[in-house]
Amino acid sequence: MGFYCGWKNCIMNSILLNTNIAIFLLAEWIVWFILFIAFGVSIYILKKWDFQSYTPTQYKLEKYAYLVMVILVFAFSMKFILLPYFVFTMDKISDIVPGAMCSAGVISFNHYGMKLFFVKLLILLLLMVWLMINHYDLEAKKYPWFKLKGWLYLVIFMLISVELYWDYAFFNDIDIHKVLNCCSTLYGLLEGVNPLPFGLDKTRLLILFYLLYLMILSSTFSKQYFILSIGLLLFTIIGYYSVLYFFGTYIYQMPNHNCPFCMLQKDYYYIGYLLWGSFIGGIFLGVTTIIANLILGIDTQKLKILMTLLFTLFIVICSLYVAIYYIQNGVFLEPVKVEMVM
Amino acid sequence: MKIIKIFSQLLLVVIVSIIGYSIIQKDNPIEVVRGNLSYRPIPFTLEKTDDTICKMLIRSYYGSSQAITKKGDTYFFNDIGCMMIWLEEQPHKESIRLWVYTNDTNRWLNARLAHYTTRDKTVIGYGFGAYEKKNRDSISFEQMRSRMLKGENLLNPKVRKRLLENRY
Repeated sequence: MGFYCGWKNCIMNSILLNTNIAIFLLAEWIVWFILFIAFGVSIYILKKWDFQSYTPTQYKLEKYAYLVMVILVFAFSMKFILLPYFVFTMDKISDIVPGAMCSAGVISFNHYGMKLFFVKLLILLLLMVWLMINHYDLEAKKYPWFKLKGWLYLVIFMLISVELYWDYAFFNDIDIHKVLNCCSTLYGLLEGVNPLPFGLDKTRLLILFYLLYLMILSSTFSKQYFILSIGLLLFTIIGYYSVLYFFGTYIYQMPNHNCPFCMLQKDYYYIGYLLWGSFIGGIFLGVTTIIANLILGIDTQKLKILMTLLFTLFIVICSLYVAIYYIQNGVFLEPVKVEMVM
Repeated sequence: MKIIKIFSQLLLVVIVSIIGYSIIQKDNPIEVVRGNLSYRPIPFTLEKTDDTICKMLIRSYYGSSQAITKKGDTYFFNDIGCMMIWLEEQPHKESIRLWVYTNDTNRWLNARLAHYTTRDKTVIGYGFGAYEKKNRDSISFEQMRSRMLKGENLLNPKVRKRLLENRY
């Protein structure tokens, strides 16, 4: 079940010896340690920073600031790689935990799972915002947003510290002798209950899916950021449910299989990484675009184009699965009603 | 640019209208009815009410039951066995009013006063049917509850065999 970690009364779960988990936690620790050093230096810089001053201390601080920035860019790139690796690790564990068929069961095993996943997403979003501010801060020469990005980094570091603790707590709490739920139990449809948000049916859900895509595109290029904000918020909800309860069934080619995680497996050619990656990436870039325009006052054409490309990729992947299925079979998938034989 | 602006505003109106219309039309099955302080059974709509335990739609009054807590929360079941499973998880069992729909007199009856057969065809298949009139094979509420919780019902192959051979 467990082994002693060396400290008094401290028993660690043997699952932590799993290669994938050990690599993941070690990588997270290294990144956190690097960020911890940058955290200390950042506080020192923020306290002493005065761009108007021409003292040797200020020059030294500017050199330190550049060093910290390089460290952060490296650490942040690692974070972008570690999220898909986290999902991959959960997928691997599902092979050794009874009951779980994919990451869905593993992530729902304890109360840390979903919290951890959302914190990871929030950290990535904030990192993207930080990278954007940093990019324009360097371009501006006079570092107009230096303090803003400094304080933002402190917030991110706090979140990363919480994330590190939850990483450990999440994996340590997994009992490989306990039976987990599979995705059919977690996301399966209850009889008569409409799982879709706002009381939508599938037809309206799909209409909204495509309309929201058009609205995001048109509001982005017509610079209507209020409409874009609403569009992104709604598309996050509608996009997730559309994949879970409609497009996902075409990926699995099973009308009653509703799971956001199974598509990350080899059986489905790891398409989930591309699908969810483009979806989440598009949303994050959209939020970053709004912040850049409304807070920093910068019109970011590159971000807009990148966001559009990611959303278009997401829409094309989703639609292609349905189109190919229809061309091959001549019918659409219909959920099968299970009748009880008595 | 102006056309795109109008287009996106128009899209916003259409999207908000679709969502608003769907929210108004929202028609999910009922799982629990609150505030039933008369503690009497509620006439529920078939195919629009969910069993609290197995989450299936209730399609017939036969075999169905209701449980009303002290606060007046009413829960519905399509099999008496489901109600027994639910009851076992509740903290104040004695204060909960239980009603069953009888197969012989077709009315709601206090579950604790009803008589139960053990070989009825029920939705989940536990086999307990509620009757107002006592017959030769019927058992009491407490006997039925005890059998259900011990797994001595038609879903247990050994018990099923004995029951169908009249050896129980």
